Amino acid sequence: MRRSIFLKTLGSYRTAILGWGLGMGLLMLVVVSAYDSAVGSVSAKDKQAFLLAFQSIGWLWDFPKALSSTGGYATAKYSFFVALVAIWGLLAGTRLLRGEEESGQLDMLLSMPRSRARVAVEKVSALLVALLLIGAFIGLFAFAGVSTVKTLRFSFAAAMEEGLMISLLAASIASIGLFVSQFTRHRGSAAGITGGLFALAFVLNSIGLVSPQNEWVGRLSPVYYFRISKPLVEDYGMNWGAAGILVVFVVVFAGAAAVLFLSRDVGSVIPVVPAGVSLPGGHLAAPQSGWSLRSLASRAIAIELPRAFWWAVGLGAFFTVFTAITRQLQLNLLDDFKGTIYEPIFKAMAGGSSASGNAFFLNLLISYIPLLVAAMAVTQVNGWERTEAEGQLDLVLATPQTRAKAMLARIGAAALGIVFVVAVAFGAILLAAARASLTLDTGNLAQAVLGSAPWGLIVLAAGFLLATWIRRSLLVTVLSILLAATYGIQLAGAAAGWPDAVQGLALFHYYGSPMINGLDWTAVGVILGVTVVLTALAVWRFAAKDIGRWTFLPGLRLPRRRQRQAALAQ
Amino acid sequence: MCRPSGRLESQDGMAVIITTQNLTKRYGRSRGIQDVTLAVEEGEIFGFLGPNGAGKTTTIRLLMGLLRPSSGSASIGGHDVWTDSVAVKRLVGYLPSDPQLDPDLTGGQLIDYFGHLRGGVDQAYVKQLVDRFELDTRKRFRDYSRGNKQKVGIVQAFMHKPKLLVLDEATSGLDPLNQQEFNKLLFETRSAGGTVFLSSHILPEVEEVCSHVGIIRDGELIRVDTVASLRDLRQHEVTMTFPQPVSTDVFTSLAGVHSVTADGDTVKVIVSGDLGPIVKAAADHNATNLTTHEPSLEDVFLRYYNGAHTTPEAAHA
Repeated sequence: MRRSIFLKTLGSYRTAILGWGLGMGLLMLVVVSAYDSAVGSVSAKDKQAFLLAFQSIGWLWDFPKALSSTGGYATAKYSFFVALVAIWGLLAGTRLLRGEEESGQLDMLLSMPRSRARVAVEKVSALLVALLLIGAFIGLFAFAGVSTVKTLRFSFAAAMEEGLMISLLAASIASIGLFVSQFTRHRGSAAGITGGLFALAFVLNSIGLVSPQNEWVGRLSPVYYFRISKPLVEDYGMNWGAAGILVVFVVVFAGAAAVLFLSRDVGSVIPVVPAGVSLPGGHLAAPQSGWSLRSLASRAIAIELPRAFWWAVGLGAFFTVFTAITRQLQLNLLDDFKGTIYEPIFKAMAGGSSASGNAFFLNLLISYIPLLVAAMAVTQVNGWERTEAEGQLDLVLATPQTRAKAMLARIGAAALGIVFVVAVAFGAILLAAARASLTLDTGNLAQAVLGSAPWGLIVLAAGFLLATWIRRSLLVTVLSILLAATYGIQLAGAAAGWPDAVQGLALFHYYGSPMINGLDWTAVGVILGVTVVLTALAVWRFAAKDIGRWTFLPGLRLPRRRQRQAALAQ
Repeated sequence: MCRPSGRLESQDGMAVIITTQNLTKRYGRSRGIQDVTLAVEEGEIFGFLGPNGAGKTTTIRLLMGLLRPSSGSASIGGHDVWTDSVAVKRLVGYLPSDPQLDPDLTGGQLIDYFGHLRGGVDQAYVKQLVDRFELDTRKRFRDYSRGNKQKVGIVQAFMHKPKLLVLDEATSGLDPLNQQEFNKLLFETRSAGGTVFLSSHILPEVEEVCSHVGIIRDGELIRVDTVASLRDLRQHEVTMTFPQPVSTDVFTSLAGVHSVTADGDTVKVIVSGDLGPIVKAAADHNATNLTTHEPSLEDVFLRYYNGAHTTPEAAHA
């Protein structure tokens, strides 16, 4: 696997291909094979409620019809996980060149008798092949899942086409990440900006959907081209034109990134603004003022501040847009279901004055908040682990500060960041609702948004604990798989009627629907209690571990790829 | 300033600041260090020599409480380095071999930050250190060259005037002028009563500044001695070419010769000490070419500790 840069790069993705391919594939299998029990055997009343909820989500994806088919059900249920595959592409795309420049690996590679263009092409090709293989796994598992369903099946070709569309969406986001990374000095900054652009792509797609006169806005987004091709849904099928446009996205952004890479110094950036001009808010990226240098706690806050700021901006903008379009969404649905049994239901909800109707709609999106703050917590844990893996903690811990203090300072700053982000999201929804004259139960909204923080905090604490055992290259994958698994259990468990004991493993299951029913305070109390225990364990473990080394169990070490540990072993 | 819990003394009555007792670190299957026992007296510059991968950094990271001993113990100033690490770190200034710091902060901000973490430092002395090494404190850490990163590390290690300096490959990346300045700083530290524990794989560097040395190889401390005693380790490899083959007996009896090998008209001699007799003997036999080179420390170690080494006396015998 090391005979060429292409094979070496592809080889470095083997864990990701297997992990993400099998993981996302298994999720698809669970979703598809749960179809019969979810749609085919529940009571008529439940089925109506189920369809109603799903029509609404499905509407955001533009397929109000055919949701009751296996393909429609799978497409709607799996839509969220498509974003996870794209996020892996985003991370890999930003790391492809910039990450290796940061670590100095690219200097060595470019000292070999190969042109820069060839290096770039081979590396990009390897990433694209890796994404296609992940998509192929998803397609194969989708077909395996549908083989267990009694009726309304989709074909093998349709399953593989679905996998291809997921790969192409992820590849287009990866190529945007690769392009953005030509303008940033750090891989992390490129990932953050690309993540924001990805969120914007969803918003543009939704604006184009909800507002027909602004349909062209949606066409600017790669998500739009993914959405209009639905290989699993019979009424839509594979749209090869849309697939072609996603290929164009990949070629244009990856090609532009390669051109910029060829024209600049290795390790430098393409300047975004003329020399001497500073962007507003730029100081947030690197705190210069003395306040942040006074203690471990102030330094930790300064480190977490830019991350919290950008997450707050992203989530605030996302929820502002969706709150603002809620009334339009209700009217569109009313129009769509005129003359059906759902018309009276939508009629009662439409107009913006029904607090329960508005809560029902907003709940569909706000129910993702715990997952989003959990994702933010994963990035915070990754940041902490990086400081240790890169050796930045060595000198800090050579001062008369305890290890416990060093870790608690960072956990505290990260927790403050999470609270700040949900507070901004809450304020954004309140403001947007007021501007759109949308009546909301503020108490329930506060519980739903502010009350999501404990889900971020428990993931944060669990992540800091895991970070004492698992080194960085595996940590994010392990945490992501755990989050996807708990979400998958919730998704499939409820639909398939799995035993309570199994469904109880789903962390997000305890969040419920607070926009409608309020929070389960007992669950919140338990989660906060577990968070405190996990934090204490993390601090205890950190105080006893070797800095810069990770031992999963005494005497057993996970396979290592990074040379740092070898260097430290000297 | 924290007082040592118990003053230790060496056999010659000097106070001991670092002691390790059967200090061992195992990394699963890979080797760390094994049963390292040593004592470093206050006021000395102790060189810790060894080839790459010998266990120098592992020993230093154990002393700094960054690694937990698998067995054995170590103490600094009477404090156990693991259980009482905060007290230890009040006494110590530490410089890792490749200092990694927050890349977004400038050198000045980093020095400021570490000053705060140490509870405040003498700013005039910090400025003096910065000036001596001509460090531009306005640059971000990520923009520094290798040598300038090392300078930031040196300033933060010395700025609180620690009782003990633990320095791991401290001069790597420094240019000769700054190396000289650094050596001066070490001597000043010793004159002020401070102690330096300096790891290196560069023999001349250790010879220049250290009074005592410990040699570690394959994780085991194989020798602790004065620098003067260490000089017998220094060897030269002399290669001579003659118009016709010359008997090896001509050289084996000369002082300091460890080994002699002949290959046709070329003779190779490993010798320590004065080269005069070798040169004279070569001239007596009309040598047409003579080259010498000092073997690397690793070569010396390999030769010395793999049995190839024979003492001059043995060679003479």
